[in-house]
Amino acid sequence: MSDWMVLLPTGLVLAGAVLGLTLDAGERRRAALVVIAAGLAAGATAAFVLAARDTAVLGFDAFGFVPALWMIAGLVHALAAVAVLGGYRALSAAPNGGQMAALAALSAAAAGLLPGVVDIVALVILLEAVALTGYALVAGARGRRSDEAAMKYFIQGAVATGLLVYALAVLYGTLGSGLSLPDIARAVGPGDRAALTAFALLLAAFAFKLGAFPFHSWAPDAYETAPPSMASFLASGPKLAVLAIAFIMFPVVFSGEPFDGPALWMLGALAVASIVFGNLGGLKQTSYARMLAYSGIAQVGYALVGLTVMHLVGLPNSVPVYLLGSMYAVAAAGAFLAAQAFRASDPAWDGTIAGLAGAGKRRPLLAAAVTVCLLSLTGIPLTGGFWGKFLVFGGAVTTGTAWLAVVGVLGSVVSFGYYGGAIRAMYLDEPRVPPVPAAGAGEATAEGAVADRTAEAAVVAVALVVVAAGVLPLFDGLRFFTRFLALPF
Amino acid sequence: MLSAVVLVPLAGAVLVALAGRGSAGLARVLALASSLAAMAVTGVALAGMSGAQGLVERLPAGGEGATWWVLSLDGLAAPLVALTAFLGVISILASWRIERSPAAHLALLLALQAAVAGVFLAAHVLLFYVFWEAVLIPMYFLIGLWGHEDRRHAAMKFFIYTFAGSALMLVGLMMVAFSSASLEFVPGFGLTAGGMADEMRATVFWLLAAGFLVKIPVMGLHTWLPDAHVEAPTAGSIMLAGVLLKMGGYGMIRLAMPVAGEAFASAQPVLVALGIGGIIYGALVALAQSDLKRLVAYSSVSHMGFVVLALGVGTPLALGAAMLVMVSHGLVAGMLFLLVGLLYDRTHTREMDRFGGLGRTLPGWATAFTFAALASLGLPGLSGFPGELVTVLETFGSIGWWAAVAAAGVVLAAAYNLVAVRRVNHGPVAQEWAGTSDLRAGEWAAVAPLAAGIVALGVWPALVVDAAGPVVRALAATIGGGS
Repeated sequence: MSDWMVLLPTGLVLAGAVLGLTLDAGERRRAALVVIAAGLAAGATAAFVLAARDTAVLGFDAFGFVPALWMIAGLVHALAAVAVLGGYRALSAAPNGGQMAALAALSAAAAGLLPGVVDIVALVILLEAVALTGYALVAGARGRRSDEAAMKYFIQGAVATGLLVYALAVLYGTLGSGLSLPDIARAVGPGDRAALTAFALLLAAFAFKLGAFPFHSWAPDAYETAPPSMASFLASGPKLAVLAIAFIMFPVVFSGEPFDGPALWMLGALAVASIVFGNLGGLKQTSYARMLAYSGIAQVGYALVGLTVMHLVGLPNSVPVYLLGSMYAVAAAGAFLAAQAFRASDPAWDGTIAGLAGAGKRRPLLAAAVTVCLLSLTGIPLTGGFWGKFLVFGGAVTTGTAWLAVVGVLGSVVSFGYYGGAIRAMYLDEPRVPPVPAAGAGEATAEGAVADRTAEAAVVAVALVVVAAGVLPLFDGLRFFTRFLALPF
Repeated sequence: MLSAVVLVPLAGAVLVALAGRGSAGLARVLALASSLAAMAVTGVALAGMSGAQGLVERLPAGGEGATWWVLSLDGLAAPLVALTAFLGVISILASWRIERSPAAHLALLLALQAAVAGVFLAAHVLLFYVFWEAVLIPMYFLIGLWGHEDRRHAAMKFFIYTFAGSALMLVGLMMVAFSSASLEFVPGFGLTAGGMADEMRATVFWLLAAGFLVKIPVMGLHTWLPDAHVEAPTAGSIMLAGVLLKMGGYGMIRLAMPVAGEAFASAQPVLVALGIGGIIYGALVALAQSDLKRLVAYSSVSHMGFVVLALGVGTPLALGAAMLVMVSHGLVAGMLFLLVGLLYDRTHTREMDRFGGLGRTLPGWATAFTFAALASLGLPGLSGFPGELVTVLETFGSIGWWAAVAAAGVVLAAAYNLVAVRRVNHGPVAQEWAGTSDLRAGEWAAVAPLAAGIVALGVWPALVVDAAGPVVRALAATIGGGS
């Protein structure tokens, strides 16, 4: 029974996706979207219940889930559900909306299993499943730019896959280990040049998947051109799942000699480069979604600071990075989804940050919710994002890598330049063109500017989660998070 | 009770934001009621405070370490908490006539008051930082939405400067937090970092000081201040100069200096130099201003220079004087910004050249302004005098005749204040303001309490000094600055 339990959340999500596709084929797109979202929500609930049971669940010698990993899996499903629900209006209007929602669910199903994967073959299959659905979702906007972005994403992703498979082949072939992570960890001995090569290759592969500098160049195009609701999932769910497995894999497989020196150097360099490049790149952006994409590069950098620290202190100290990753994913999902709501409320919006001027007046609730998400991404207290950064940078301070913490906090200061730029545009800038409809186009504009209530509600719900995660620790000292996120092994 | 000091204005902010949207009148009444209620609970809390260790409160109730919501009220925090509640009421009165979204403006003021009170009451490292940053957000919107011409730039500059300072402070706090057993402040004293090596203490001190010195602000890190003060709406300037700057001085005494311990000795000359530099620089730049509000803003740099100097001297008397200067400046700068704001409401200019003879056209306003200017220049009997006098005397004891340079700052203060009074109140009557109305009763209701506070503190400085005494004596002993 225990074996199958591992697949319960995934099964619910897949059932919803298959049923949804059937309904979609019968031209019942709205029903399809609801069923898909319900399947995702059921999968998320199942994963959260499994997390609350507080026992490890193993299955088929390929998966090993502990409560923390169920939390991540549940969050991935929940983020997909939010993306589908938030995109409800836009997806039900798009001819391929049902298919995109089903693809997102498939992606979530694979990503939800990823954090608990132990077998490297299953790892490759799941990572590829996530990647393939990702390419399709980016292409889902069906424009020339999105085709180009998807192609770019696909080609770079294929290279990443090559590196990944090669790295695993090195581990399996030259070391003669088994196929599971603990087997490989045992086989990796001191002074293994081959293992160090595999480490570098794996790091590059994961850096591609996560969009860390200098393997990031697909990310801005992909997130800018994908439909906003799908970008909100792509930038959050799969990224969180990949971070989670990276957080487990690197410390388990590559601990101790000979990795301490080179690993620290490589991880630290990747972290600093991502933080610097992501933040400086973000400052230059005029497009809202592109700005969020660059900020995502910097955020992966902060997570890599956590991974560097975990190398020094070991796996049990994974709460900070899990918290950081989760909080980033939630806030980023809200920020990307907001683009959907902005577009609905102002069809003339050109997608730029400057074009958001006056949004604080037009849609006060939406603007407030986005502001909360952006402040959380900056790392301002009273939002969940603060605690993630606080614990990760705090970990850096205690392990003698305070320079990483300094780079991180200074990066956060710079990041307010663009997050704050969006807030400034919404509240402080006057709209450049007064929203007076022209005589002829009056009717069309009035009809077009309908509030996208579902997208708005999704962003507000996300903002409430972000604030709750920011305020709650004041009264229970992070016990809520540690209870669910601590890894008991 | 201590939580109520934070939560009452916060609840008031939510109430005003929700209930006051339809009616500006209702929003004003609710906001004033909330700020008066906050003042009442502050009064009750102050009355309940006794002993050197003061009151401590944890929510939910539990032992040490069970929660991060730890508040404490002792003699060091008390004057500043009282000042916050007092200026909270004044700022509501000062923005009585705001026309653009009054409910949002008043709600942000109340939220700001809650956050600042939280900074002064927090007795846990993390809670302190949370409130510290929480202050930024309402202030950002107050400047950015209701400020003058260049408000957006000023709001962004204010946020980035203070956020950069506090980011370094956060690294320092993390070094303390992850190296000591308890994250709570020692009651009646402050943050301690038991067992930390001396070189480490010096590093932590400067990281923490980076955040506090930007806020005070010291010379060199002050450039956000003139912009923010000048561009902010009147109530924003009152809160900014009145209490936000004090967060820096308070943080030095409560966190940075106790953590430094004996390692503070190496920082003393730097602080003394920064303090004296700030006094002279702020005063000279104030002297050169033609914009009345900018003059008051630079006078803040000069006055806060006395605080930095007193902190650098570090004797019990000097630290008490630093507290006194801070509270006094809160009242005096609050009154000056209020008066400048009231004048601007009438004339829509702050250029001193366009005024003249206001003593005849606006006798009530001119009297109040002269009074505030005299308080600012340190007239004996008013609140500005005792703090700065003791600071100069203690500086003399510490560095000898160099103290004369600081004393020159007092002379310069007399110069720029009297020049302002002469240019605005005296001289030929500027005919363009001949028909302007003088202060109304409602405006006197905001001005008069400040004047009363200035006199009260001037004749009875012990009010602040005695309260802060135990804490600053304990601190002075720790940093080796005397018995």
